[in-house]
Amino acid sequence: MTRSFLTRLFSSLSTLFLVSLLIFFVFQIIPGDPILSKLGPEADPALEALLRKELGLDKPPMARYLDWVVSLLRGDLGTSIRFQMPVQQLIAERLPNTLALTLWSFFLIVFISLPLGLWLAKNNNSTLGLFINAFTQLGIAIPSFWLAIMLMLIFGLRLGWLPIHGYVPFSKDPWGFMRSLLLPGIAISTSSIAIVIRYLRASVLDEMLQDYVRTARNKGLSENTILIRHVLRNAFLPVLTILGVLLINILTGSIVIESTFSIPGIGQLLQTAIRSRDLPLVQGITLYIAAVVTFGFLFVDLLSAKIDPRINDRGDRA
Amino acid sequence: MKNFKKIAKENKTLTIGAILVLFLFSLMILSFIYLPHPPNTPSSANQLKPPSATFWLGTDHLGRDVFSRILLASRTAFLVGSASVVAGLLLGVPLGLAGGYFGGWFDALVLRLLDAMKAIPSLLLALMLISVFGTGMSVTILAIAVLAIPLYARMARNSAIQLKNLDYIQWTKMIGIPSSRILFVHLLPNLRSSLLVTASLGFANAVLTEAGLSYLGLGVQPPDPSWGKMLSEAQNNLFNAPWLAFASGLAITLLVLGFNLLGDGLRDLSDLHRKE
Repeated sequence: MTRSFLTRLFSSLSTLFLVSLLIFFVFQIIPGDPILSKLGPEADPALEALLRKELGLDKPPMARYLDWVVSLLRGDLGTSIRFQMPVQQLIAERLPNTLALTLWSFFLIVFISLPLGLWLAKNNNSTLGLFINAFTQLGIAIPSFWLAIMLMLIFGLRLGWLPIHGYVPFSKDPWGFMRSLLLPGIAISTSSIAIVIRYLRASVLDEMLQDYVRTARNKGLSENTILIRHVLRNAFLPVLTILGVLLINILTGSIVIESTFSIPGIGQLLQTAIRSRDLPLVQGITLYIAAVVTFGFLFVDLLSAKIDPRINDRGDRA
Repeated sequence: MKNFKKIAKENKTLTIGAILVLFLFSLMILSFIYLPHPPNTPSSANQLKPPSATFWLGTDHLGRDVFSRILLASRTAFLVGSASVVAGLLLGVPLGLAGGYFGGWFDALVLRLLDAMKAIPSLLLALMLISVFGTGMSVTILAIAVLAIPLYARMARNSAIQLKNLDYIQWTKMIGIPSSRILFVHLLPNLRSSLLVTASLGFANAVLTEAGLSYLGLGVQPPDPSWGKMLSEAQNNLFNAPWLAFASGLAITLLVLGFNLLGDGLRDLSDLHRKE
C-alpha cells in the first residue's frame, strides 16, 4: 500500500509539474514582453531595463519559472491586476460558494443516479426503461446553461417558486442561500446524472451475465438480493472510476452556471478576470483548479485500489 | 442498399443520429441559398416580436429575425466542429500513433502531456487561451482545435499499442518498410471505425464548447452569429420575450444529440462487426 501510494503520489506530482510548465508557457511566454506593451516601443531604455529588473524579467525563462514555482510553494499565487489583491485571498473569498454548489451538485448526482441506474438495469426492456434511456441521451446533449434558463423560466418566472437571480449569502439567510442554489445545482448535475445512470446500467447488465450470478440464482436467492448484495459491489467499481470525470463536469458546470445565476464563486471570478485581461488572476485560478482535479484523480485512484486490491499500480485491473 | 436498410432497422441509435445531423446540415446548406430576412440588420419597428407568419421564431431585442439568425449561426457550429475534427486528424492522430508505435521516451512524453491536459478541464483550457489571445472567431476555433488533440491522440495511441504486435505489422517491420509507411499505410486504415466514432463525439463536444464560450461572451463575437451568444441575449430578455430562449437552445441540443447518437451507433456497429 505505501509503495503504491508513493508511486501514485509521484505520478500526480509529475502531472502537476507539467501542468505548471504548460500554464507558465501560456501566461508568461506567449503574451510576449509585458514591459514593451506597457510602455510602448518608444520608451526610455533605462526605464525599461529598470522595470525589467524589478519584475525579474531580465532573467532567462528557466530562472523565471523557478522563481515562480518557489513563490507558489510559499503559497503566493501572485497579485491580481484588477483587484490589487493577492490571488489566493480572492480565491479563498469565493471558495465557499463554489464549494457549496459543488457539494450540492454531487449530492444530487449520487442520490438520483444510483437508484435510477439500478432500477433501469433491472427493468431494462420495460417501456419506462426505454424512455429513461432515451432521456439520458438528452440529458448529456442539453447544454447546462440552456437547461438553467428553462428552469428559471418555469420555476422562477411562471410558477414563481424560486428566485431566478438574487444570490443570498449564507451568513445572511441560510434558507435563502439554499433556495438560491437549488436550480443551479440541478442545471450543473443533470449531464452527470445521465452519465452515471448509463454507466451503472451497462455495468450491472455486464455483471448479471457472470457465473456467480447464476450460482446465486440457483441457490434460490431473490433477484433483489442478488442485485444489492452481490452485483452492486462489483458493478460499482467502474462507476467509481468516472468520479474524476464527474468532478471535472461539476467544475466546468459551475464556471458557466455561476454566471447564469450570478453566484459570486470562483467561476464568476474567472470570467471577471478574463474580461479585464487580468492574467495573474486567470493563471492563479487555472493552477488552483488543475491542482484540485489532479488530487481528485489521485483520491479516486487510491479509493478504487482500496476497494479492489486487484487494481495494480498502473491503475489497470490485473 | 438492402444492407443499408438492415442497418437502419437494427441500429436505431445510428439512424436517429444520422437523421438529426442531416437535418441540421441541410439547414446549414439552406443558409447559403435562402434566408427569410436579413439576419444582421436591426429594425427598431420589429423589436421582440413573438413568433408569427412573417417571423417564424419571432425577433430579438434588435428586431432581427430569429429564424434567419439560427440558420446563419448553424455555419458557426459546423465550422468549429469541422475544425476540431481536422485538428484531431492532422495533429492528434499522428502524435498518438507515433507514441504508441515507437514507445520509449517519446511515448512517455506524449502520455505525460496528455495527462497534464486532462488535469485542466477542457473549457478552462479554452478560456486560458482566450484570456491570452483575446476573443473572436479565430481564437475560438484555435482553442477548440487544441482541445481536440488529446482526444484523438489517446485513441490512436491505444490502437497503435494493440496493433503493433500483430504478426503482419511485425513482418512489415522485418522486411524493412520505413516506420512512417508502416504508421500511415498499415496501421492507420485499422483505425477507420474508431476514428469515425471519435470524430462524431468530438464534433459534439466542439459544438457544445463553442456554445458555452459564446454564451459566456468569450467566444464568437458579433457580427459573427452563434447559438450560444443568441441564448445569452435571450436570457437578458427572458422577462419580456421568453420564446427567444427556445430555438437557439434547441438547435444546440439537437446537433449535439445527433452527433452523440451517431457516434454511439457507429460504435455499436463496429462492435458488431468485430463479433462477427
